[in-house]
Amino acid sequence: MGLWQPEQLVWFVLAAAVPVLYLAMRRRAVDVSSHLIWRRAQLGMSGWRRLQRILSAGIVVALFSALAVVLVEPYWKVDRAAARSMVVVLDAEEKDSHAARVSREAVDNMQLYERMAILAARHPTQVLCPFTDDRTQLSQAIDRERPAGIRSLESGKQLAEWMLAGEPNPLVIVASDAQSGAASEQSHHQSRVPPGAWVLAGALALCATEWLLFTRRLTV
Amino acid sequence: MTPAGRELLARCEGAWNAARRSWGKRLFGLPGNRGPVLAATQSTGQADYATGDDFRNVDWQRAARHDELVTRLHRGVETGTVQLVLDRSRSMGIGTPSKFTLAQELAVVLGYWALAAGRSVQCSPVGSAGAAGTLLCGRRMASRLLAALQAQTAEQEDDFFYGDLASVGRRLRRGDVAVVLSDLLHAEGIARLAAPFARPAEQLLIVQVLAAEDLEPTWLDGVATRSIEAGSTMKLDLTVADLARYRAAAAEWCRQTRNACQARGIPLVQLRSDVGFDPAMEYLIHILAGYRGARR
Repeated sequence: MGLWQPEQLVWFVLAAAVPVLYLAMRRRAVDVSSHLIWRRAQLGMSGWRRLQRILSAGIVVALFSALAVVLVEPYWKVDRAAARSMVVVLDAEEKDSHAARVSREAVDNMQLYERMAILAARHPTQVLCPFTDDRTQLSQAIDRERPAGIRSLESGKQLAEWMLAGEPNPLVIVASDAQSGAASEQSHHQSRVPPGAWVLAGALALCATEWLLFTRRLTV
Repeated sequence: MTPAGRELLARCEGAWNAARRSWGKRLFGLPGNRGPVLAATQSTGQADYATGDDFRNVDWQRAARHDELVTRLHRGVETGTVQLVLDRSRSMGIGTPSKFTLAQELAVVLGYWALAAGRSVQCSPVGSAGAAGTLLCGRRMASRLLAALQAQTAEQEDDFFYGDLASVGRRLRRGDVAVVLSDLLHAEGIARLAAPFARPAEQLLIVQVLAAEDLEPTWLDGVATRSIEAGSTMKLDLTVADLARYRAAAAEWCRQTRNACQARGIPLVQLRSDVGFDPAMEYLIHILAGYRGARR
């Protein structure tokens, strides 16, 4: 997910519009008979009041910015560094077999900036899909696979290691109906705490601060 | 006369009857204004009686002899004149309906009552500060009084109002009464208002008209208030607590105004512009009937 997806972009634009409108909001001009009573009530804008207003505006802007960030779920630079290059060696005995399902799960679990290639474990080894980050293309490649010919898992693994030579964070996933433990290799994928959670926590903290400021304003 | 004007005069008549029932012959129900007020002037001639002429000026002996009604005409300075001083400053234009609208209606009513009680009434002409308007006498002059007051607009500076007051203060003689209709939203308050009058307790009746916005503003958050009088601007960030504080300050200021008037023996009636004509009349009659001030 990212800003290039229309749904997320719409959310981002809507969320960004709120602080812009807040900042653009001007004081309402009203005519009064006299400032005599206003001065008696000592309702002029003191330094603390001005600071309070600026703080409040700042918090609201930060709050909506944080919500916008959470809504669009962006990915940080660390994601790029941690991105893996994966090769799935698919050794399926029949269509929709256990190996095919494991391969699809691997595709579904792909993160941003990660690339994957799909190899068919037969002799000679066939590249079903070259390195790509397009999940649709990868899924279609898995669906197209028709088990035929001589199965050769070893040659598939060798080609995968050759393809991953020099790649950052290499990972070979062997999805084989013959080897039941194949799927466990890709289940090591570590689910990290999404950055959005931290942003959401920050937004809640800002909410609390704004609430404190607001209640203070009410009880002045 | 417009239909609205005719209706207003009809309501004045109704209010006059209610006022008479409430306080009898006293002018505006104030102590010290009981009894007939005759023009202490020299008779200069006679004219045919016209509707609205004061019966006290009718030559009854001639009526008995010749069976005709003739009104005696007089010349000279008449005592017992009521001077209507309507605050025409821009601040009176605030409110829905505006303070000026209610003040105008009240001025018509009070002027009508004075005419009905046999007093002469004078109000400032349009567009000039301190000039004396035409002296109106007799109930038939009510329509002229109405026209003179309805021609007024709230577009003048504060100084204009004080110019009117100073001029009226100079013109006032013993037995005369000045009726001041204003919001009194001036820093000097009653002190400056009463300054031109030699005997404020005997010569003044103040009707203070305030708008709901003056007493209970409802604006919240960022507001830039512009004083329509001074043109100054005040930037405010209003909260519910601030509005409560303002209401308390406004109530305190009204109380101080009442106390200042009480200390000087000046009768004061405080009204809100959105109260409506009939409740305003009832309140006016009630307050004036119950007034037991320092007036001799």
